[in-house]
Amino acid sequence: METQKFSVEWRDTDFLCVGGGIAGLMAAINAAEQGMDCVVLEKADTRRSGSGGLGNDHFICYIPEVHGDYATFISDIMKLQNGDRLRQMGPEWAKSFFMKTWDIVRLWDEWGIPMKHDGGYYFAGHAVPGRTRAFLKYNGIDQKPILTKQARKRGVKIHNRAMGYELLLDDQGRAAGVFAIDTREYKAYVYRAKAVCLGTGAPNGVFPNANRGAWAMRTNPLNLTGDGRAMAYRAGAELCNMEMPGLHAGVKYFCRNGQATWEGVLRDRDGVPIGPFLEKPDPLYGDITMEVNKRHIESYTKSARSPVYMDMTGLSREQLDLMEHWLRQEGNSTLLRHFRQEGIDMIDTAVEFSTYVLKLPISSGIVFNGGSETCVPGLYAAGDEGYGGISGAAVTGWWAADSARAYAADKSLADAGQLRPKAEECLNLAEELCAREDGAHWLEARMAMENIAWDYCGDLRSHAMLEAGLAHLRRVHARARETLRAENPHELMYCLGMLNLFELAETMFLMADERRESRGQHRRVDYPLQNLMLDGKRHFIRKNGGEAVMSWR
Amino acid sequence: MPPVINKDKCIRCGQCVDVCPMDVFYSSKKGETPVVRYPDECWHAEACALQCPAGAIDFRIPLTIMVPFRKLPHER
Repeated sequence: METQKFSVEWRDTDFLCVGGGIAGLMAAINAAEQGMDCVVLEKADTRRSGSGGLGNDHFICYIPEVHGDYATFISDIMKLQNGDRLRQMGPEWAKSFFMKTWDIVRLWDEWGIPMKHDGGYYFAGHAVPGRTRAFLKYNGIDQKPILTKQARKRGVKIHNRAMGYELLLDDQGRAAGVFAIDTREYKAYVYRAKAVCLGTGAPNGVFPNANRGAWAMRTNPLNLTGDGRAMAYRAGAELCNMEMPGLHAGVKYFCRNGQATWEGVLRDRDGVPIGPFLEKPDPLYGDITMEVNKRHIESYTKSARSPVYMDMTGLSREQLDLMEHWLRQEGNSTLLRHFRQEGIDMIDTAVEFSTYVLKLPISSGIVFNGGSETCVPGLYAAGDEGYGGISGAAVTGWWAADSARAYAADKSLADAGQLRPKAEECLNLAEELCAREDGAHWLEARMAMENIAWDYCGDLRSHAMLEAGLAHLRRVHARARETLRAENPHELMYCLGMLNLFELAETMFLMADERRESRGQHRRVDYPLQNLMLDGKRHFIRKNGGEAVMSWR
Repeated sequence: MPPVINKDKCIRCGQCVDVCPMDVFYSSKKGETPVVRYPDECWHAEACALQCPAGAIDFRIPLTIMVPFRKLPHER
């Protein structure tokens, strides 16, 4: 085997943000404002990368002049999707989070992300009729180019097309750098940093896409492979609730986020609403039926009762135009292009919706506290590891920088010698993957993993299936490690992403077996009841001397 | 084949190549019309089209992601 030679470049900074999404950019902006030298490492381009890359149109926040009493606000929010997650983070975290969201709204508006509609704050979607509306409609289509510009303006160095793969620890176990590969050239980077923030987003991976043949059409971009979660886990940080899959619903086949942007009513083929909330479209609230139970749509189609449609009839042309505007802000321009090409006018035509396939959890993953600190000194996490989507990413990223600045003040960079052994190990791996003349393509590995995850840890779970599935997953993972082959740096990025996903899939199997109850989308046939004693508790996993250790708190 | 580049309109500025979050234009060369090397990895979110100063990018929506639709009884 002839090894593909990589050039290696060592670089230094105070604060390294891995992942240039909303969280990473907000962390970098805040850190740079406080005088830190700061680098954002991004595997794509920060202007359009990540789940918020093509925009967003709703931002959960508390604006005192709009919402009034906080107690009523938070009580209503707790009833929405992810309310459980908020409960787990605790009332203090929730309060400081929501108080901070108002600051971010004003900042973003000042920076040129229009947070107002028609001169005022307009809240709509994801809401129960008559209750608090917590989602601010905003024009987020250019949020990433604008945040990128703000970061550059403050001197942040943005390193695009570089994937952070491994966290480098110093001899005291502190985060001291990151090993990264270039996604376009045979180049590797060893970053030394006083503090590191991981904001690599919500991985879709692990489960197969229900829409065969459209494997890249997922709610979040395909290249989000949970790199931050995997590197945090390997470095000894805690992950939580990895066995609790996320589930989404939306337009059938054209798999996308943005369910709250739709203002119509979910109906069966006879026009009968499938939920109790709306009789006609309501731009202010939307049909919350699928938020109560995303499988409700699937229950219609799996039993062959009827397809389920999102029906906008009843909206005026002006209202529909506005809804389409929000769909574009949410990143759905191609969907609207498709509707135009097919002559679909939603004023009198309903489009089919479906329950999508399970995905790795959002709002779980790397465990961090109110200062976005993980249990590894110098390591911070933000974004989809936490709560709140875009606003959650903005706030937790911001806080990560506050904590990192305080932490890094009296730290210096680690000696290169402390980081070199691990960096060389990673470099050998990258070179090996690129040198293999034949072997498994990353997509082959991905499909193998997805089949196993679905067959043994999918819709229904049991100890018998999980145990057998984990054994097979580990065999396939080991073989993938030996045989994955990258034809170029682009494929190398996906090969390394696959190794990360295998690791995360293993934590999912281990934690699913350990959670002896049914809850949410985790359905155990051998433990069909919800264990009330686990209410409000989180399930943790971390590596201790190579062994996975799980606990509840 | 997701993005389709109109060679007559393309000014070969490479901005779509720079910005594509999925790098479907991987290996495209500066000064040449971009090549869609990894069409299956397209997320269909139009970063390229939004960036293109020449309006040279169109999309062919794959058959697998066409959305089913119908007129409900009250819409006919």
